[in-house]
Amino acid sequence: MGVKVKRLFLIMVLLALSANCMDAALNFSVIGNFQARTGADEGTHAGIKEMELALQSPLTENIQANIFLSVHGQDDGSFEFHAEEAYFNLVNLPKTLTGFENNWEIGGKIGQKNIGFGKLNPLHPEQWRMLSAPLAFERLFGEEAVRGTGGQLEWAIPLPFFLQVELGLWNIEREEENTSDLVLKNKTASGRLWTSFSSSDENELELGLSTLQPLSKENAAANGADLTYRWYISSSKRYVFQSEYILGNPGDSTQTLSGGYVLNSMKWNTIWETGMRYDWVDSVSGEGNQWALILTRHGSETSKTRVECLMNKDSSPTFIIQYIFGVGPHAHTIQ
Amino acid sequence: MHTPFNKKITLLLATFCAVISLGGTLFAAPLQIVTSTAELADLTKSIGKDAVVVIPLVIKNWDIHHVEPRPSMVVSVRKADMLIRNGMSLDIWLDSVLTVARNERVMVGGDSYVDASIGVTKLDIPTGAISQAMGDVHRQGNPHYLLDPRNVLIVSKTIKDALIKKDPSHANYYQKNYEDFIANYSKKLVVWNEKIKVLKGKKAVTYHKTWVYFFKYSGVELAGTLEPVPGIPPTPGHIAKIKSRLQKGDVSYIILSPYYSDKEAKILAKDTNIKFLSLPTSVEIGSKDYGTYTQMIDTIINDLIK
Repeated sequence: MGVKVKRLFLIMVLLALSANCMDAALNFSVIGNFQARTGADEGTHAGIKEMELALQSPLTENIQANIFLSVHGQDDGSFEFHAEEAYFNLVNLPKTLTGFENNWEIGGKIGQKNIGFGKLNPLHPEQWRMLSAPLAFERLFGEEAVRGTGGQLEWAIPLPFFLQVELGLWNIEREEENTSDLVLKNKTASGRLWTSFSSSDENELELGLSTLQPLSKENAAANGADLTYRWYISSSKRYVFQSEYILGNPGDSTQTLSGGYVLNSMKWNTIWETGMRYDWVDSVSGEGNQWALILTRHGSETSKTRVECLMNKDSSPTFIIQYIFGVGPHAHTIQ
Repeated sequence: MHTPFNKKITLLLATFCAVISLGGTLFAAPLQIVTSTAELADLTKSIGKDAVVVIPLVIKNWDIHHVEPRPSMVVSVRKADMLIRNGMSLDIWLDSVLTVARNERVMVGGDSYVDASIGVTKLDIPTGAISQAMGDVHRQGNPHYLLDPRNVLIVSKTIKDALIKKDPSHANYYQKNYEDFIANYSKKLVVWNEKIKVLKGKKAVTYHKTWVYFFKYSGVELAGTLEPVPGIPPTPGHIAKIKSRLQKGDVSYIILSPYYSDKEAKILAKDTNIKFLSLPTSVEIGSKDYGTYTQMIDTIINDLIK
């Protein structure tokens, strides 16, 4: 049933975009993600991690269609095709439903998409300020983002500062190869409160609270909090502090799983950016922590090379090198 | 059957209605206009004056290519009655702000969405296939069109027309402000046109291909860029090529925007004894040298002819 609904959304969004393909407003974005990974304990792997094609277009002044297709490189050299996200963005939901003009600031998304939980999950990995997923995400959620088919309401509360409430209902399909400790699946409700304060043009503080609650008790639940501080020191120099904390309940036990990360990232000029991340996790498979040192060279407006060194006390360091190019609006999202 | 009392009431009501409707016209809340850059904000304010409140999303002379969209921008865009952007992918980051803001008036295709590049003659439009090897090439052409002061005549008309369409009750006000602005601005253009005569035929090396519109206006010729291709930082091999080009002795300037690294440019200027100039490419709110568009062009021209 879930697969059928997912395919239906994919076909609907594709059809809607095809009908609009001659429109100048149709935006194409292409993102290439090449990675090599090496470590004494895991050998060396290199290749295309992912190629992503994003098609985004307004269908009417009130509805946008978005589709993100990707090709993933597999360890055996083969490629796998994915429709990562396919959804309609409803700019003004009451108007879409009733046709009446209003100023209620309520929108929504319907289709298949990464669920709005925390800072990293809604974004595609090539948009992160880091290369690898934090340990807590890997252990609790798995290698892929928590993704569902369904919809969410978004209400931007009319205040002098940014405050958005998101409420969603999703059917999460757990991939067979996902062995993460938190079994998020089936019908799940999501919620996110996202706010931001800016005392000047140079700085901004963001806070978020997120939740994933299953509709049946035996499935897992997760709650999260995130904090981001950005300081724009000059045109090309900026500092970012970003942190997320996740608390998970597996559903079939009373054990509480938890984890998070703290990232310090400094962009020194138009070219160089350095980062340091500390991860920790306490999950079914035990406690763990690791450090990640991140060096990014922004080759141009549309390309970057990133090197990350992952270190923990149980294994020798792992080095990952990544080259990303991204063209189009999808390469410039709000983080 | 009208009694004096009824007449008084009628007169009072009529006066009340007249005051309300006149007040609605004269004292209506100003239009909230968001612009992607400070120079567009300056031009919009010159035409809208007291009938508009203009909020630029970038207020400093920063590299517009590399602006990070952030939630605080969403608040401004969400409340905007009109959005005016540079367009041509220079402010491509604005698209994600528009998506989160969900203000249908100012979405692409909305009735209050204004792309200021409409009507401007574009330069450097790539022909043939565009590849990564070409660097950050904008398929719509070079987006720095506001560095040709003549383009302000086109852009200000676009802004005036958009204001009148959005707020017809102030049509005469906007038209009058526009005509005053054009009259004053044309006088500035005459002065600038006279000043730049000495620049014709001079050659310059720039960091990025930012200056093609200004060079077309002034007659300065582009002898090369420190970036091997747009958006790619200088490489030692390319700097060596530029240095040998500069050693021919016919280049007058090495021009840089303040947000680029000036390391290579300063070394080249010192080694070749060529004038190094750091020139603004955007208005910066509060700056005494380039706090308005005309101040910015004054600064650019005066520094070049100094």
